[in-house]
Amino acid sequence: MRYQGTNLNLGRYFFYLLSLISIGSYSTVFANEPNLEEITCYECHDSEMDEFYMKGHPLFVNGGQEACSTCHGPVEDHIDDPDVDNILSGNATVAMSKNCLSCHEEAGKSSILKLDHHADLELVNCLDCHDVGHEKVAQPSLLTKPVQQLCTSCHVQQSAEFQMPYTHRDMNEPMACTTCHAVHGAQKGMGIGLDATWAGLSSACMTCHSEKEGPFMFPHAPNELDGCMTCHQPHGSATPFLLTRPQVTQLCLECHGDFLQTHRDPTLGLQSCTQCHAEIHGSQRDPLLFLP
Amino acid sequence: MAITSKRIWIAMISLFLAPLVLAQEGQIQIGYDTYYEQGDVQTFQNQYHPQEGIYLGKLKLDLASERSKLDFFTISASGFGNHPQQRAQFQLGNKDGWEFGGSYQRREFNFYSPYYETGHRSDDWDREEASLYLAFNGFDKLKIQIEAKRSKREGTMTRSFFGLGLPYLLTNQFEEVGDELSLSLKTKNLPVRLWLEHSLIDLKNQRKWTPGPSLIEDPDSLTQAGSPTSDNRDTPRTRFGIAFENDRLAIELKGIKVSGDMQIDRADYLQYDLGTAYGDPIGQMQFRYWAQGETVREKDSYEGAFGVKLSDSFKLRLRSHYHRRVSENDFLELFQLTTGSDPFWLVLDQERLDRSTWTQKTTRIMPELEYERRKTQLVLAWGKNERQITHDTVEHSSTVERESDTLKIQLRQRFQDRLKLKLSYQQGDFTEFIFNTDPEKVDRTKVDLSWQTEGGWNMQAKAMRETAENPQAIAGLDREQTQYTLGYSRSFEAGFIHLGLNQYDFQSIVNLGMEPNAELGPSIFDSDFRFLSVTTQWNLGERSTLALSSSYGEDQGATTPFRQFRASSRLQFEGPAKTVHTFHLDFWSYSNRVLEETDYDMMRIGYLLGWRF
Repeated sequence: MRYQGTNLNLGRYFFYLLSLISIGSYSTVFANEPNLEEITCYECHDSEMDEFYMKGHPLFVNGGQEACSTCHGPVEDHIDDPDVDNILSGNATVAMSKNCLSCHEEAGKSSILKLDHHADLELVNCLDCHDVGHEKVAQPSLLTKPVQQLCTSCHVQQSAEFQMPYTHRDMNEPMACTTCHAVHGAQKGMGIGLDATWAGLSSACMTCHSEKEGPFMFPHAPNELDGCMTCHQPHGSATPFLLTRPQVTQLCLECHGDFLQTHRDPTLGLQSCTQCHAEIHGSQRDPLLFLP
Repeated sequence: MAITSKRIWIAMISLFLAPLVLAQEGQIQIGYDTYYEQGDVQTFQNQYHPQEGIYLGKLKLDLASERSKLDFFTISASGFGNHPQQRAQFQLGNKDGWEFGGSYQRREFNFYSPYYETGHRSDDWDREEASLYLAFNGFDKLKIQIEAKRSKREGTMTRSFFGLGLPYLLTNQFEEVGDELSLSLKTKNLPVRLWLEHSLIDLKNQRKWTPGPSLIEDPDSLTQAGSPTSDNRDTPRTRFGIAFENDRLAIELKGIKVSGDMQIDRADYLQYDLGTAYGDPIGQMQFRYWAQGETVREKDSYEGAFGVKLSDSFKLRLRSHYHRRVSENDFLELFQLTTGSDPFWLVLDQERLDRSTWTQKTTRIMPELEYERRKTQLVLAWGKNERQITHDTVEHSSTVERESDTLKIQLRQRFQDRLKLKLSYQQGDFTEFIFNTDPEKVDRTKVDLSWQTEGGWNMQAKAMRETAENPQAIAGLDREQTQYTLGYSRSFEAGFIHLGLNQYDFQSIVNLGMEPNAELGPSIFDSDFRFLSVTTQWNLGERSTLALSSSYGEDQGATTPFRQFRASSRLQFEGPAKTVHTFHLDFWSYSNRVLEETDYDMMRIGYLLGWRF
């Protein structure tokens, strides 16, 4: 039974909007076609450029030789002597990734600061995860594989943690890493970066679990000070609700060793802390975190 | 289900009209899943939230033709129907002009356990979120975006609570609605990068209590419960960043500032009917509660980084972090107990005023020196962290301070460009303790080896060990965790194979104590988890693909011993008229050695019919 609150049905309105937009796609207007044959590269690379123009990296919409040199570097030497060594090609992934940054400067790479290991091109460069964009790829954002496959190819430990019985899942598969982590560095989404030093804010958790954020009249100190991972293992746990201990009472007692003697009276039938202290993330009415 | 099947058909027909006429690209998949179960179905549902029936597997439309003025116009959707997660998204616009988009997602969450901590717990709620954004990227130096978002969480949560000497059940039917409006600015093509985002966030929470069924035979029954009130929260948020880098110098500063203002207006009640005596009802006991208050919280967090290239081999970096959080609470409550029966009633009142302030400040600074030459990189870092927490009430004020020193050494070496070795050691020393489980010393050692060959195979070996401890006078914390990982993958022309082996050991001992002069003994957590996985995918000719994966996990530790096995297979082939047919078979087996009643064996058989156009 659902609480009969507002009548808003977000999904219904969103589907009406989607329907209108798709019908409105009739109104797209044809534009002038660029003449690929005017571009020198087309003489030798006609098949790649045909595919690139139709389906590839959107940069090519600008047309012209600049689209090639933006990624491959200066092309004059290669035009004079069409040897693969006279131009940046697929093997020079670090050098080509630097050219990606000429447009995608928000990608968070830095040769000096290196705020996390994804920011170091020598460790992780653009082409480790993204396709060059010559042709259309199945994944969004020109990714070479689905997000989870890309991340777990290096982060095998985290992949194993996601195999625990209780974890963040999208149906049968682990939730995409990019749901919580900003892979290009924390600056882009201001969520937790690869190094969750901002976990005290637990901002990524609060995106979905907003009711835990507060502010609470009577907060629970660990939730305020060190964040969600004081008690939860977000990647996976053998325990329901991703707790770090199989019994909530064990978790509570590791900090609260000084509670009332009366809690030990077996006649009271008290087995679990959260049986009474139910609002463990913080309460708006009770300093002992009883009813909500 | 929030979306009826009739609306799905209306939307899908509408979505098909455009691409069919304009001959653009798209694909759609409709699927059907069915399950065969043995054992505890509820535990499987708690872990995976499965649903049986027809669902939308995938819908993907590319509506920007090569001859249109739009650089991109895509619509995607999945999961609508009998599926716990539904998503839809659209984006259209031009790279150097206007961009318009939106997204919708809905997740269901169901959890039920009569075993959980000998109490009762059930959740049945869903969360929806819809957002729209409009951006303009046509300026040479600036990109502007405005976004509106609405989220709604509604459903029920049932918990046991301790009433009149016994556990009772209480069901909370709730609805939370959050609205967010944000404006963001981002510079481009400037030597200094700036980004700024300001958001206005409003959250409303309404609730309704209902007594649940009695857990045991009890003469005193909970007959009425109510909380017909709402909480309102107003949370403006600002985020910003500034970055500059040239060949010699790099500076970055970013920050976030969040204000929260929660207005509380409560009126709750619980009523018990107190059994019978000699055949006549004894009476009633009613608890009433009123409260009004406000809690205001300010959070500021800033990170700064400065780096300079001293020479071709040496770089010096300085990182700093400042975090401040202040909460001020004002609260007035009235508590009333009414007990008895007509005409004799006893009424007791208690009024309480609470005013308190929590202040937390954290400051961290970390200088770092990097040496890099050819294929060797060495990094030395030292950090200092100070944290201060103050709690002020009308009666008292207390302050706790905790400091730490951190040392980090990291070495990275490349051999022949395809073999990489990385070693790192980190140590932290802490003073003072806020929680019993705060460590006094933490050590962490990591080894990472990766090797790629031109033959197309890739090997990884990783090891990590971390220890943490504190004195016996605090809690005698002794925590150790080690992880070993081996990964092997090989790519072939027709497919790939990946093998993974992971061993994770975690032991924790914390002494528990209780006043006065009583000890409960140590809290011991022992996990010995190993996990083996195999994943492979092969192209069977030009029109079909077979994917297989299998994994085995087992925890042989003393605390949560369990065993699980999973296997999945997926066969996909292209049929006539651009159809794509996919059959999948999945199997799960779970065995909990402590709670054997939660064991299960589950199998899922499914079929997806797809069409590419």
